[in-house]
Amino acid sequence: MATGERSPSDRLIRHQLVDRVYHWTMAASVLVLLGTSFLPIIGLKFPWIDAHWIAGVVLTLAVAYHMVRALFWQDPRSMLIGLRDLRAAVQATQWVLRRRAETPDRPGRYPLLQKLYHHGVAILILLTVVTGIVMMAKIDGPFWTRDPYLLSSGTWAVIYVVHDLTAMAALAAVMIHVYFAIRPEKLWLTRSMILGWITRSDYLAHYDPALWKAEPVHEGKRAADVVAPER
Amino acid sequence: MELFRVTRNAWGQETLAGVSWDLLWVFVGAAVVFIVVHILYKWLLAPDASPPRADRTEIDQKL
Repeated sequence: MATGERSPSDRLIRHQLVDRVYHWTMAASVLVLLGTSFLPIIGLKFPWIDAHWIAGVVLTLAVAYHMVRALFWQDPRSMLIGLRDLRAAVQATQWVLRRRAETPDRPGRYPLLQKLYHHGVAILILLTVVTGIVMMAKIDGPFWTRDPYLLSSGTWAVIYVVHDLTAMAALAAVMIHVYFAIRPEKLWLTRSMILGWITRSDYLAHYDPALWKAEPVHEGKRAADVVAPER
Repeated sequence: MELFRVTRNAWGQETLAGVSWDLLWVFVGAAVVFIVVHILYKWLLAPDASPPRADRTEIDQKL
């Protein structure tokens, strides 16, 4: 094979099609939620409430789907933070400070920083979704009429504060996430969330094969068409 | 800078309506600061992340 050519077996599955659809559905709904909430606040006025609660329902359904799939069809242990992660974090700190010559140990499927970001965003999104669902009682919907007296004013105040703060924090988290997604050394990861695969060289350079056994994209099939074992 | 938005209900009582929208710029600013600091760190301080020559040989053999 000539240098630079890639055979299908050089591609390893990173994200199944269904998971990529979930990710981009969640991304689109979060962007709509952020836009419909903060653009009117900074002065761009438009009828935002219906787009906001509908996008919120889409996000709620997407998150619920992800939680069921991740817990029962995928490997939730791959998202747990353990001693190996902490040891690698110490090694990475020593390496950055030039106190260690060798690069840090390679992680399994998800490095520590990805796990931390996921868990942080998960808490923010869950709090925003739960408070947002409760707040839907204050608007007229297709199947219900508003009831602003469902909760006491003190309870509503807590819900508003939590929803506002978690939404602002989610905006900051999205900005940081997009920044990392467009960094040159991370584009191979971003590509995997679009096309589903990573190259074998990226796999061996960034992951420990003993901790995560990636399946190859089958020859003659696209990554989207292959159902790989989840574990 | 106010931290909360306060309104009065029909009975004239102060009620908490949410956090101040001024906090939005605090969160945006924090994200921008993080991004700028990271860019500077990667540009000026971060060690070369590509594996050393010995590790590259190992990768080539595995391909």
